[in-house]
Amino acid sequence: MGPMQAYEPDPTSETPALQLGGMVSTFTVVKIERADPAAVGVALQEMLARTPDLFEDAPVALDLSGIDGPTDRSVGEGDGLRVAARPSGVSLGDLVRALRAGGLLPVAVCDPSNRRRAEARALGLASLRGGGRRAHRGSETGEPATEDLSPVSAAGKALTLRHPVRGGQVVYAEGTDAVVLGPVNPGGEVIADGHIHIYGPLRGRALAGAHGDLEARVFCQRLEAELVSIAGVYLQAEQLPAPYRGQPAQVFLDGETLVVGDL
Amino acid sequence: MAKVIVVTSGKGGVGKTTTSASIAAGMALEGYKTVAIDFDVGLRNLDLVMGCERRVVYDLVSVVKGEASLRQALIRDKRVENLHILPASQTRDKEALDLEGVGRVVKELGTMGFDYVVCDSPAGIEKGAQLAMYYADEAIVVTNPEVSSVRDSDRILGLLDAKTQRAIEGREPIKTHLLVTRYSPARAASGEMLSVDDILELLGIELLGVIPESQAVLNASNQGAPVVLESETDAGGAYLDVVKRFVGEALPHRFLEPEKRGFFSRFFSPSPRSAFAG
Repeated sequence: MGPMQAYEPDPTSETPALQLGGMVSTFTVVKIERADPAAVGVALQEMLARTPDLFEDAPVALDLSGIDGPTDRSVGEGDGLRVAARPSGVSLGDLVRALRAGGLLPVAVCDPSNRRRAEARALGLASLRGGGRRAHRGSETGEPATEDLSPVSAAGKALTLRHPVRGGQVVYAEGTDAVVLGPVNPGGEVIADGHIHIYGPLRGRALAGAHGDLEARVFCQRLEAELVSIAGVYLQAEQLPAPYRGQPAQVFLDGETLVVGDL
Repeated sequence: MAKVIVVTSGKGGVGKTTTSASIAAGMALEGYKTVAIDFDVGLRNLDLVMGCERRVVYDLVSVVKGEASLRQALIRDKRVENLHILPASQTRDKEALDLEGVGRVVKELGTMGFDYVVCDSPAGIEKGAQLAMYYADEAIVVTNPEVSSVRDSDRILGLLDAKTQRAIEGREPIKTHLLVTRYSPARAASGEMLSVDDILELLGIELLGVIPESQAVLNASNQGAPVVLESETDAGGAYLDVVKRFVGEALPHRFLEPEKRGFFSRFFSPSPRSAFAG
């Protein structure tokens, strides 16, 4: 589950010293369950004893919700219900040292509280928003989704949505395909570890193969996407081939190139 | 049991308060005992549009806080029988409202024999807007024919599907209606604004009505009278249609097509067909 190849725009003749590009990648998330760096180190050693090269210098993101409680972000903005995070006394630096000693490479903290964010900054770690997406039950802004949006299917059984996916809503089909019986509107986002089938216009974002499945595809009845991605390789709206805009289409990976084809 | 209607949009300035005032007044004209509640705590516009700003003593916040009874706070409209207004507070903190308190107010309005409770939502998607929609049975989503307004309405429709009591309790989903306001068929036809079809295509909900862009709305608002009371005007007539459709009358939609050109304009700029006829 390493970083995925990003879509490369055409190289220009003049190459500046610096170029910005996008990349979607997946991290292993390490959830810390005990506020005790020594215990974390021991647990890590036990894991490594079983599978020695499991995490060799693997970049990992830390989830501290097990020891600090949920941060307010997981409750959602704007609903007036705020749960203050009460970080445990353990220092982030001690935890990071224990993980590094075990061969992990912590690079970020998921949804940190303000105090944890300051600690992370001091340690040179990034703060990731939306770390809750792994255990996702609704949108990025924390809305509880409707009944139809919420269930995360059992492995192998597709997640079927009978409502439009509207702006601001995010749906994640964990470990399976997503089937949307309606439109995905601008600002809406469907993420699936498998394929994404949209029986309607795709006007928002569709990210298939979110955990690196190179065989995953996106199918839609009308391609008007803001972004489509397979296993981290993505195309933005203006990169979609003109003949397929507004047409039924499928999107898949051919080697490292994202291809749009007839449905 | 009162039916609770929220008038909402996401975007500000699209005509929520104008619509709330006219829907509530129109329902009352049709004989239903109706109350309009202003949820825009801190701004207080509904009482102005309805022309009762001088009669405000208590408000929604004072009722929720238990400082006044509902009967004390309700203002009875002087023009239309059956029409009542529960104003917002201009001076109170909007944090003063909470779900439980609003729930008590809505329930008590039901026991007082109201047929319709019209909730005028503040703009945005934050707490105030979510409080206004929470207890709703039906929603009127107000949209202007421009992209940002339509996108915001889409966002609000997502919240209506997820953040209302009906959604949370897994009951029958809230019924959503689209109201397009400030519409100019001629400008839509020439591509200067989105057409009703464009809007319906994206939002995919039932069209309740189209209110034409009209000077009558501004005039009525300045006079403190819901425009629906001036039903001889284009916008007033359109709102009366909307109310009648809402309560079940099948009326054809109006203001979808540009007005037919008059005799003189035809005379001075002949249509292509008459040019070929000679």
